[in-house]
Amino acid sequence: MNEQTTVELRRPVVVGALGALALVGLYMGIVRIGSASWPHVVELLLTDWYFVAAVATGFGVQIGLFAHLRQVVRQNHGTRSAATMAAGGTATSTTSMVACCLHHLADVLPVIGLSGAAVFFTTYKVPVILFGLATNALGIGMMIRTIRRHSRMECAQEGRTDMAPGTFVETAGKETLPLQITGMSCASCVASIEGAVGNLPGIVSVAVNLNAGTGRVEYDPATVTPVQIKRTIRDLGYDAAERLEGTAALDREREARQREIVNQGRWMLVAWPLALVVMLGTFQDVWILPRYVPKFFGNPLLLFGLTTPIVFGPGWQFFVNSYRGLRHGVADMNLLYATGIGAAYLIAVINTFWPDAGFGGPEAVFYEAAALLTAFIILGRYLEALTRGRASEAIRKLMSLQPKIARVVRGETEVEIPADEVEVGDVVVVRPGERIPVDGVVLEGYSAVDQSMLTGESMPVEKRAGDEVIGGTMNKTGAFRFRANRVGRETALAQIIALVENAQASKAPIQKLADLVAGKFIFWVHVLSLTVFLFWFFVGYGLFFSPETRLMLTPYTLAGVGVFGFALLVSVAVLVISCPCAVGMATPSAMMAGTGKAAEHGILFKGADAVEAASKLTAIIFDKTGTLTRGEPAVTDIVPVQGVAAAEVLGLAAAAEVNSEHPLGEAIVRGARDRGISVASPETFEAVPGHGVTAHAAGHAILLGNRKLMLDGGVAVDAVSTDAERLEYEGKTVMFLAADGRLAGLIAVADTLKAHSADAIRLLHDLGLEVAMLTGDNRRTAEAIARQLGIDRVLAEVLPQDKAVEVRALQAAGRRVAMVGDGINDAPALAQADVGMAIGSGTDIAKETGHVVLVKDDLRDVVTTIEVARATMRKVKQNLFWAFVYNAVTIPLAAGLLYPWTRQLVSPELAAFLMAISSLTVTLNTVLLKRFVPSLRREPVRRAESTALAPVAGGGS
Amino acid sequence: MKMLRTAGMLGAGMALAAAIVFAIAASAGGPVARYGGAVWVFILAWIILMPVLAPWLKARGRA
Repeated sequence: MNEQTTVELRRPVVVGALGALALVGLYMGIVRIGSASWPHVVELLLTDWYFVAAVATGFGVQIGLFAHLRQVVRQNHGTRSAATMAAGGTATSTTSMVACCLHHLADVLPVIGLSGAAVFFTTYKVPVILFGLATNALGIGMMIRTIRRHSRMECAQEGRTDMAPGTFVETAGKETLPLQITGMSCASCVASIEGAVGNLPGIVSVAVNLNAGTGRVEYDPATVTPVQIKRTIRDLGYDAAERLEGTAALDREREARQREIVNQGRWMLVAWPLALVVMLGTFQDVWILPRYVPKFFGNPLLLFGLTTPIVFGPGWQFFVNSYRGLRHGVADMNLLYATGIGAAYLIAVINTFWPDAGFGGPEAVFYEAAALLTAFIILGRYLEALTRGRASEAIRKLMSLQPKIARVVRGETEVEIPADEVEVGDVVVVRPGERIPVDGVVLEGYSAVDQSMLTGESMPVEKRAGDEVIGGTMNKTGAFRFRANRVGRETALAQIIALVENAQASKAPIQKLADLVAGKFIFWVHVLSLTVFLFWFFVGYGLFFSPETRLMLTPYTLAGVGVFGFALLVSVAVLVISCPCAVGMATPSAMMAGTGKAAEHGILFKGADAVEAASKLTAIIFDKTGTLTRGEPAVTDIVPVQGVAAAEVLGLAAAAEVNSEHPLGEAIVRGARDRGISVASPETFEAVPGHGVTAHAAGHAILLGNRKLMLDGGVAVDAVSTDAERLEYEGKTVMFLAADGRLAGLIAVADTLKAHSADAIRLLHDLGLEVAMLTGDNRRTAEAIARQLGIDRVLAEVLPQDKAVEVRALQAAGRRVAMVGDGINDAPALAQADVGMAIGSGTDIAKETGHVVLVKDDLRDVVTTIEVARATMRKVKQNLFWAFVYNAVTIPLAAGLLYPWTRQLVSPELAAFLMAISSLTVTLNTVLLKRFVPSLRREPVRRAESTALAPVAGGGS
Repeated sequence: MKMLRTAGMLGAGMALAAAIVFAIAASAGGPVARYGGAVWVFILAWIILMPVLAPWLKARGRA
């Protein structure tokens, strides 16, 4: 043991000694009370500083001792048994202090009616004091001994003498365990699993998704194994297995869900008929029931016989699961159910067999409470299993796209093999009506492919040799062969599934509050239940109880119920009516539905945080080249001089540029060919750097270039100078053409806007967003584009490395910014933005960096992204609102807040009914998100308007 | 598991103490109210204490 540890150990000894002295002071203080009455005790508390100081010091020193030892153990001796011993020792000394206090209080116990305890403590005064002091010393001694022993053990285990005991060893590495978890029913199950697994040594992080039935555990393989993790989850009563890929996962998930539905359905068949008979029997003598229900139905023994199979059949799962949870130190919803059902049943049994026991007598047999409580809970679980399946429909749809069989060419023949056995380089044959098994490039053949399930694009896309095909899409009309270039986890479909799964498994910031509430909910509900019980037992019953008391919505009177039965009833109602499920499910279920809905439209959120951030956007920045524009220049205007045809101007210019590799020259040649103009080969060609080209073609001496080239060639451009200035003002690059020394006209070249760019920006304005454009182009060109598109703000002449700085500047101005880009140079800005959106035609780096991937190359998906995000967050807020309001209203109601005025209590079965309704309401509200339709789909006419091929300025990025 | 057992026993001990205090305080009531209430207090107190003690002890053990 090193010197530092020795020093650390001296402190608790000193503090412990002070604690013992304080106890003596405490004794001397309390003993002065003597046989005082309660008013005198209060008077002493208010006036006798010695007594107050002694009590405060005693407690203070004990607490200080405890806290100090905990600190010492944590910092220097991080072993479990040391901590346990320290806790045990401290608890022992604390208990001894309580014993001493009780003894001292013996003098006042008779005043509050505890004469037996007073006699005991008075009789055994000296032994109790000695016991208290001895256990204090023993507790401290145990701690010191344990700490010393572990100091030696740890150093010996490490084989080192220079290392302080309890020194942490950094984790060498971590691995991820994806899990499929079945049997979860509500948010507290998530908290239970996360708590129990998180308590294992070597766990780095745990994230469980209730709706997807999945989990992801990061762990240190040197400390904990996947088997231990899975066993811990199974011990809690859930089934856990490593998550499979693709259709196998789909099959397993479906089987598990079906099993849960069948199990709960079977239990419903048992619980409901019996529960209804029990209810009829209980209310046999009210309303019109005596006419139809035989009297013996109300016999308590029959009700006992009918209720017992419900409690020990369908209801037994809650007792088993809550026991398993408690074994791992976690309290979940099962515990609420078990305590509620158990208490109701127990009271009923006692009142049946021992009617004079004081639990309300034979008039208060709550068999129907236990029976209906169980039936409602089972019904709730059944409905949740059904609706939860619907919430994860999107992911299942995606998984089901993966075909099982592929037809590949082996030698001269076509062979059918499992799709997951296709290798990169295999030639795959696809016939009409078949799904494409993997990604690849078409070698031969022609067809139209329906990509709607992956991209949301409703029209089939033509595919011919050289085109890429995506695995999972549907071949419509023709047959073709393609070479596989991405298989297994590399296919676009697999990556989309992984993205959607990850997004659905992730947690949005807004969920932290819900998780916090749901995670601690069960604990606080039990605390509240205990508090409510104590209040009604000691105070409320005496003050407010009336023989007219009845259970809400029933004719049931509780005239004969005693103080215990009354307080227990209220306490149980609080347990049962509380519903953390609704709080816990509010966010993840909406996130799942929202990200799934987005995926249907070809929008892939990488996380729930991206959904939340996208819903709060106030500004959106577009990269210009490649995002708003196509990224390649095209001929936009041809202005011939009088007497010359536009086609002639373009033909001569193309002839001059046909051998050029300059982008502007290529644009002119492409423009001529697109317009059906034959392009002659030049006899001579010479590039004039910075000015243009000179050439001899089609029998003419051609000059093509800027004003300087014309000036040097002695060609006047006055005839078209007005048009040239106008086009330049529009941000276009103007080239003059002279043939045989005379001006023939001019050609304007510019980048072209992508289809729907202007439409997207108009719709973004409709959503109230400020739209900015970021480009490396000169300001004039940039502003010309901005004018055409209606962009609010232009950030021009920005170097690639400064794009992120511009985003940061907007953020600093208080805006929540999205960046839409496609290139490598956009990656830093995408990362800096609150939401980075990488468009589908962009680079892999942009897609990796972005928070949202737009599969289609359609800017209107930016609008849909924001609309989906806003709709999802609206749903989240609605769910949270109803969940919190439900609990805020019903819990006080169940706790008897209105009882003094209404003389009515919430029965356990009504509480169970309300609880089931609350979580069902949240689930059904989430399912409504399936009806969400983006504004683009709602406005087909507006969508038809596009700005396809509208010309803009060229160059730049 | 040993830690959980310890937490369970410790929790049970503390819950028992709470139940005893309740029984003493409720001595004015009849035996059913007194001991039935004590049992209910024991159950709830133990349920409340277990999830508090188990992670606390584990955290101490891991530190």
